[in-house]
Order: sequence, then structure tokens, then C-alpha cells
Amino acid sequence: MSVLKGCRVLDLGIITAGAATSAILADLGAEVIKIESPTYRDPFRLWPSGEGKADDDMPPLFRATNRNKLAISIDLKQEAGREVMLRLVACSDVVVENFRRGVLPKLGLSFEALRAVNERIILASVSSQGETGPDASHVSYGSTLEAVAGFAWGTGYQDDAPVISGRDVNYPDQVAAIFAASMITTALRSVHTGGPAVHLDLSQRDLTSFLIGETFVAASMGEEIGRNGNAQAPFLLQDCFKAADDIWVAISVRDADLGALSTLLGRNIGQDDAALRSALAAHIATQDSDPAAHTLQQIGLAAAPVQDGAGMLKLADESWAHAIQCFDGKRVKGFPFQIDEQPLSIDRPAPRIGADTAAILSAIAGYSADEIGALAKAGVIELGSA
Amino acid sequence: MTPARPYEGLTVVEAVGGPPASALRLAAAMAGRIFADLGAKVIQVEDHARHEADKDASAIPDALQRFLSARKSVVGCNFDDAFLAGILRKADVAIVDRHVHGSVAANDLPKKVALLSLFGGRNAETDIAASEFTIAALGGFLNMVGDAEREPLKLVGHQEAYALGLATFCGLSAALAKEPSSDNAATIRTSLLDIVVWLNWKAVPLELDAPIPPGRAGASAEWRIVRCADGWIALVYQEPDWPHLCTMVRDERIRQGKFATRQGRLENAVELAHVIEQAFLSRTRRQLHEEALSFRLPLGPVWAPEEALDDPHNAARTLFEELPRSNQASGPIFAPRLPVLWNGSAFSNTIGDVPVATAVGIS
Repeated sequence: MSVLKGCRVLDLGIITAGAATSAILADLGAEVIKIESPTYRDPFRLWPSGEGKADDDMPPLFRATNRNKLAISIDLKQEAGREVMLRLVACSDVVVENFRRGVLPKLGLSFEALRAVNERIILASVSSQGETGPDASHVSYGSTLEAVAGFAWGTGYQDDAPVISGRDVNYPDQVAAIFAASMITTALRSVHTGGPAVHLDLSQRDLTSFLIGETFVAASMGEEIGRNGNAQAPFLLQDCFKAADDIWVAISVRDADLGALSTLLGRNIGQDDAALRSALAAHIATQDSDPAAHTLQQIGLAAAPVQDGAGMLKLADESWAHAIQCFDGKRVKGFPFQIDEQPLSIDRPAPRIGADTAAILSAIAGYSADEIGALAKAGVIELGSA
Repeated sequence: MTPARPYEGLTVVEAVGGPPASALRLAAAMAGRIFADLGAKVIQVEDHARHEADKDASAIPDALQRFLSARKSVVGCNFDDAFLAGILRKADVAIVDRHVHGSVAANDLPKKVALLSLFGGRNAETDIAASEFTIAALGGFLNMVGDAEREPLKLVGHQEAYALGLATFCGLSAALAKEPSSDNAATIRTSLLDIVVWLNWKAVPLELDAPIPPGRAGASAEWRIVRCADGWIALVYQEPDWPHLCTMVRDERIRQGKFATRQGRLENAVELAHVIEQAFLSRTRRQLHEEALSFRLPLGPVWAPEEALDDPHNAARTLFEELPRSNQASGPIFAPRLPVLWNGSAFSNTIGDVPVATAVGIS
């Protein structure tokens, strides 16, 4: 049995941070209901992926982050739609949202409104900059937050401009989902042991600063914070060197590696950075990346070729196990961890818009077929096809 | 007001070997730090035998130790001793590596165990030398950041290890969500390479026959950093933002036909960034930030850590808390609190104490 079996999550999450948070909960066994609207879709349904043909409302990025979910379509701007939503909240455990700040209260779905119908509800607000503060309404993506959080300042080539992870990584969005899912499971424990309803204010900007916490400690102790390229304590040298096949090889050299490295290179390598760098660059430039890295690994050095997407896939099963999964013959985002006794699993594909509207309203919210028909006719709900 | 701490009464033991500041130790320390903030009693066990072997290795930097190990007890022992088994036997949760997992009898481990490794899959049990940096290489992370013409670039700090720590905590918190710690067994497995691949999932073609997504574009990237009067700003925008960006830039060159479509902008990204940079060079980060707010544009001024410490938004959210001063410190020392507000309140005063060396473990 999955660890979150019996837990119901209403997922207003969109794009990566919100939708991926709920996806982790779904993989852990929660029943996750993705809520869209006849007038508002998850933008990931339209997001260009660079992979050519999109499958109408099911492009790869959407499919990858919304597998394992059910879907309902409700117009939350209509009073009748709000009532439908609150009826679902009454029999759910968690609501996840990452709308712009102020949108949920404007819809009449503030934490107070949710708590009024369910005194044990958990509302996870996964926002860019938090519920409060002068920048709370600032529209942001992950890389915006790298800039304002002090994170980009420390990323970059030495004596050059700061660097962001960019659109194809958007780092804060990825880690935010793991942290948000963990705070939701923590809140579930709190509620399960008799605690009150919980509103989680989860700011990606706060998280991004937290993930360089030691930098702030160092800065306030007077240390000058700059950009150091790939250098990092305690390594004597850490950088990438280009091999004969034009693939970069990443290397981390400790003091303790110098003896074996000197033997391998046939010359006495001291702690002089320039000499070490020059010797390694010359050694690697004469070999292809795989044998170069392998030879260095054989003497106990941390060394590896820099892989692209194809190289990452070649390491599947051999060096990583669960990060990417295949479902229905297509790749989807996998799991950040696995549990031996209660494995995370993907049991259903991403849903089409409103695919489960009728079934959810009937089985969970107790609406009759006539009521569902009337709501659909009035445009309050949308009955999609599976 | 600090909310009730959800893991009050829980004892968590971190027992991961390896040199100070190695990836798995940092990951365990991050997971333990979150447990400590949320009320658990956290014991960080240091492998004394290993320390002797690694006496040349640098000690963990003070700032890192202060950030990760506050509110914890630190116990030193030889990992091969029965003492470690005794500590683990009394714990509710253990965060261990495969050496500890393999050397301690199963009935000495608590029911909830997180087992950390550098690699997953068939290599989970191997001793291949690796660092956060080389794992970032294998997981394609390095391929995504930096200039295409220059060497690949790591992200600041210890992102790989910290992300593994977040995943470790997430798995354990899920296993603890609906039951007391003593009920069903749960073994959470996670590897550094798995977490990097998970974070970098967009680098993999999701359609089986699709081309490999491109790597780092540097100066040609759609999102990048540009200069302004007093520093840099992150140029981040989506298709619907384009008309507003044109208005904010206030330079007619941006309205040229070649920039009218996304495809055109991608093909002329370097020239476009130059036009924007020229326009921004007369404006400060704060001015650009205010303008971005008014145009609802997702641009981000690049703040240095010292500036972030004083930023009005962070101040309003009390993101940074002062640590108790050590004897050597000449001024106040700040670190970010746990990044969650729980019913509007922080788990405050969660950072602070320098880790306490404990001689006898737990009673």
C-alpha cells in the first residue's frame, strides 16, 4: 500500500512548481485531482517543448508532470463553480495552488473560506515570492528568483558576470516541488495527530536563498562573496577540461589525490594550481572523454564526462534508477526517491481537460446526474473525454 | 509566534561517513537540519576512525557548519563500534549511507531509514569516486549552464547535495505522514545522480524519437543576464510579456521586424540582448525592478548576498535571523530561516546554536 493512500489532493497547481508538487503526492499514492477551468488551462498544455508535434492538449512537458492525476474542469469565477469547489474541499485533505498572489481570495477561496468548510484542510500556497512582502505580487519564474535571492550572484565564471540556470533548467522551480511536497506531508502528520488546519506559505525565493544559506553566514562574517567558476573547497582543483572528442571532462582533485596523479602523469605534481591545471589539460586533450575519465577514476579521482540528454539516458539502470520513468511508451518525470516497502509508481497517464469531471462530482461530491448535466449546461463545469 | 513543531518527540540520527563536506554528508545534514527546525532531536554522528584517515582533508567550513548543524547534537564514535548501533537502536529515524546500513544489524535500525548513495541502479553499491561536481556532469546539469564556447559551469554552493537532502527529508516525511514512527518499516532510497537527473528532466527527450534538447546557450540564451547602471538584471520573459518588454525598454530598435516573433528573437538573441542592455545601462537595478513590477514583467535584479540581507522584501518576511554571536565574531551573523510560514508564522529561532558536542549520545 502506498504511504499516502486515502489522502485526497485538489491540485490547482500549474506549470512546474505547483503541478510537480502534486505529482510527487500522487506518486506517493494520494488521489490527486487536477482542477482546470473551461476558461483557463494549465499553461503547460500550451508550452512549447521543442519536441515537434504536440498531442493537442497533451504536450510532453504537461504529460510528464501531470501523470497519475485525475482531472476536473470547473469555472471558479462563477458562484456555482465556487460552490462545487468548496464541496470538494469539504471532503479533501490538501489544496495545492501556485496562482498569482491574490487570485485565490478573489475567487472567494481564501484559506479562511476553505477552513470554514473543512477544519482539517491544508492549503499549500507555492508562490514565487511568498504571501507577504513588497515583492509578493511580482511576476517571476525560477531564474528571476535566482537573481533576487542572491543565488545568481555566486554562479558564474571568475571575474565575469553572474549566470542563471535559464529556461531549460529553471532550477528553483524544480527544488520547490520537492520542498513543498515535504512540507505538505509534514502538515498531514500535524493534522493527523490532532493539529489544526494549516496554511503553508511556500516562497520559492525564500527557498532559493535557503539553499545558499552558508553564503549569507559567510557574508555576514565579513567574507567577500564572488564568483569562482567551478572552484570549490575543499578541492585543490575542480574544473572541466576538454577531451580529444570535444567532450568536457569534469574533475575534482583533493590534496590526497596528488600522489596517484603524479604517478599517472609521470611527473611530480605539486599544489601549484597553474601547473596542475596545465598537466591535466594536456593529459585529457590527448584522449577521448570516456577513457580519460575512466583512467582518472581508476586512481581514485572523481572524474566524469559531461553528459547531454543522450548520455544521461545511457546511464539509466546502471547509475540511476528512478528519476525518469517510461509510461505508455513515453518518458515522463520520475521520482526523486523510492521507498522499498511502499514503492512510488505511475498508474495512469496525464488526464485530458475535465476527463473525470462527471465521475468526481458524482462519486466524491455527491452530485446527481441531473445536477451534473445542469452545471455543464450552465458552463459551470466542463465534461471532458477520457 | 512559533507554531507547534510537528516532529517534537522524534529522534533522528545522521550517520554518514566520508570526508567533511562530502556530498552525502551534506545531504544528510540538510535533511537533519530540516528535522531539527521542525522539532526533532537530531544527532549527527561523526566517524572518528574515518576522520583519522582523512586528517589531510579540510575541516567543514565554519559557515557551512553553522548553517547545517545548528540545534543538533554531535557525537563522535568509530562507525565500526557497537556504540553506533546503540544510538541507532534508540532512534526513530536514521539517515545513513550503505556502509552503515550494511554494517549495522537490521534490528538495530529504526523502522524509518533513509539510505543515501552517490549512484543509483546497479552502481548503488559500488565505490566509484565521485563528487557533487562529477555527478552534476553525469546528470547533464553542467551541460546546461554557462557559455557554449567555454567550460560548463556549476551552480553556486552545494545544490546537488542539498537537493538530495530535500528529497531525503521528503521521503521520510511522507513515510511519517500518517502513522507513528514505530509502525511500518520504510526504507527510503535516493541517490545523488538520481536527484540530479530528476532536477534536469527537461534535458532528456520525452518523446522516444525526439531529438536531444540543446545544452547551454550562454549569450544566445533566451533568458540571460544583462548589465544595467549599477550591476546586472536577469532578462526573463515569456511570449505574452514581449509587448510590455518592448514598452519598458524604450528603444525603437527592439521593434524591428526580426525581433517580432519568438523564432526571430531566438535567431537574433545576442543582438536583442545588446539592444536591451544598452537601454538598461542608464537605469539602476532598483529602477528596473520598480518598472518590472509596474509592467508585470518577470525581470529580476541580481542582488549580492549582502544586498539580499537588507532587501525590504526579505525584511518584511523576516527571512534572515541573527545567530548568537560566537566569541570570535565581531558583528551579527545572519542565516535564512526554514523557508516556510506555517499559518503565517516562522519556525523562528531555529538557527542559532553552534552544534553541541555530546560525549555520551542519547539517553
